[in-house]
Amino acid sequence: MTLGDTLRTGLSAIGGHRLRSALTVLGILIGIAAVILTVGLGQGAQDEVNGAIASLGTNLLIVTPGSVTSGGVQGGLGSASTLTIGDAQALGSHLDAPDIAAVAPQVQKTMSMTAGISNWTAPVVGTTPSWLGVRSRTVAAGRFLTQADVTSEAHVVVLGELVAANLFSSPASAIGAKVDLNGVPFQVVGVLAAAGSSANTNQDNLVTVPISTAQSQLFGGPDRRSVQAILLEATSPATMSAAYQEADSLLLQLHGITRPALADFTITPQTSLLSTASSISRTLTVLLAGVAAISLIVGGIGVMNILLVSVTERIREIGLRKALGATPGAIRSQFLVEAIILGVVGGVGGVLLGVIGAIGLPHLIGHPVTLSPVAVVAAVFVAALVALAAGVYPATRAARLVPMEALRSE
Amino acid sequence: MVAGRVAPERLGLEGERVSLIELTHVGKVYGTGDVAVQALKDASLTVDQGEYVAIMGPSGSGKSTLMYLLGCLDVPTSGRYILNGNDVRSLDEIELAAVRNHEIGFVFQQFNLLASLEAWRNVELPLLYGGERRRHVRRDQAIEALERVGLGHRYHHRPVELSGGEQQRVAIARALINRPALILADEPTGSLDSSSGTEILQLFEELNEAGVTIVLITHDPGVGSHAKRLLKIRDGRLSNSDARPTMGGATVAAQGSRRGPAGGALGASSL
Repeated sequence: MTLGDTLRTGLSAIGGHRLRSALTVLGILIGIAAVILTVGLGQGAQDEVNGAIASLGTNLLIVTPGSVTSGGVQGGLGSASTLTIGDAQALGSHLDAPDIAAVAPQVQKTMSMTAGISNWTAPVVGTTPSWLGVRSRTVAAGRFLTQADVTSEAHVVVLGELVAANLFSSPASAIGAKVDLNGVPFQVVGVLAAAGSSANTNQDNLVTVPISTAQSQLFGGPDRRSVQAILLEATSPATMSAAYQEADSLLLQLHGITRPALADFTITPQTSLLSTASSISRTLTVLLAGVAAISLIVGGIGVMNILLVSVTERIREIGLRKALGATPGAIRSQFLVEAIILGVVGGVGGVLLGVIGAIGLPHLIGHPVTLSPVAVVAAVFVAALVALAAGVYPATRAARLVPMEALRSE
Repeated sequence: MVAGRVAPERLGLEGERVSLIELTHVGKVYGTGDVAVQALKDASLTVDQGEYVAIMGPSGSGKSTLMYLLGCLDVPTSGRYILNGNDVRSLDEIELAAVRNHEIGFVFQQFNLLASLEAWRNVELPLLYGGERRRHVRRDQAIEALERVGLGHRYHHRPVELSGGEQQRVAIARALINRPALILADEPTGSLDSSSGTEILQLFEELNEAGVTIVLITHDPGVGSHAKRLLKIRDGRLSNSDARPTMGGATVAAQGSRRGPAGGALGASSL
């Protein structure tokens, strides 16, 4: 028998039980679609996290004020106002910290803002011109803050894309317009390009003003020199740890702290946060794919069940074929080919369903689904393999039937 | 034209009788221990090339067992069975499949056609399992075999579109297609009305006259009477009878003799 003959025989048998074959295929199909979609969802989440890492800058270190011990009571993390503009300036020294490329001190407070009759609420970030590079952002229209703005405590503001969209009809129309931040008038000089959201923070829902203006005009407070965070950009991903060491020793020295354990600041590589998020999403993907794989196995058991029923039901046919000269091998390959046909049809159907789901699902649940061609091709192979494995036992049973008994059965 | 497959080396000189089936003291036991059933006891039988033999017995007599043994669908528990030179007990499963494929054409009471296949695709099955890889050759030969049984024009019909008599003709075409040494028919008229049954028996006679060896198993004396030699089986014991069937018949088994008393002569004359 040629392969074509075997295929034709298998197709005839499947065609003889259309509904049953369709239901069997459905089991495989759902399993494959589930695997493809969960892996795609996981891959989508992974891509999102990776995108966020890239958008934040991979070389980013964040210095935050640590706990301060006063009168034997240790305050919580970030409770102190131990970081100052002076610290930021010192860290910017290429002599003391050669592996730090740029420094951006940052103060931040959420405020309401109005432009004409429109109003909005967003974090106001007071910072310096280097913020743009450190955060890997770009300007969509107008310009970013300049050193002159900082020096002169200019009342200028650069809007995030979302803020601009909510206050003005277009980014271009925002340039030159007036925005009141907590009633203090500012002039819009630029709009940032969209960066998307990451780690539950929308990077486009913010405005930036010169740090000097923010401290003196907007935030007030007792210590106008303190900052809430200092963003550091290492010269390259390879010099991250060197930059970390330099910032750490420099700040300990500046703050007069001899024991590193008593440091009143914390340095966090931005990527460590995100790699945690990344590994969590990876774990979830593995978990979900595991559940999906179980459904695929259930589909495989369905194939085995149907083939066993088929063997029992077609026992006379098997007897007849043996009487006509079919060898055990010919009978076995007939049933295996039937199993593989069911598997491949289920696999291809599952891929189609998976692709439709990958297109439709993001609109429903708001999460991206990334389908890789490798996963799609692999899914069809896995489906065929699962069906083949499921077919081995029924096929062997059919092959071993004694022709006399097979012919006699009713 | 109808022609049985006759291996030249097994055709004796001057039309000498050549035995196709040699069954020597064959027994068959089903089950073991307390549940063992002796379905066939010490059966000896010789059938020559070109014979038309009927084996007749009531249900439970062991005639089905004998048919399965003769058809190599089962192997004897004891004794010796030589079919066209092959010692059946020494063959493995794959060799048995080849013997069934080449040497035997089966005709069953229930026709045993595959409902999902057209007539010609039912008929081609033995060629398929015999290793003929060219589909058009199988198709041509299948249609030729259908023409031999008078159904050449219905080759693309499915079994449900054919009458019982036509279905049995398709089954006979299938049995003939590999030019087997032996046609083994198990109650071939049992599911047919009497006129269709008569037609089938007539077809068998024509095939036999053209040289095909036929062993027909039946419980019906009316059917058995069409054969040229009649053997009776009862309680697992095989006995020979006259060439012309009678209800009495001799009780002496062939006991391994090379031919039955009258059947041998008939076998020779038909070659």
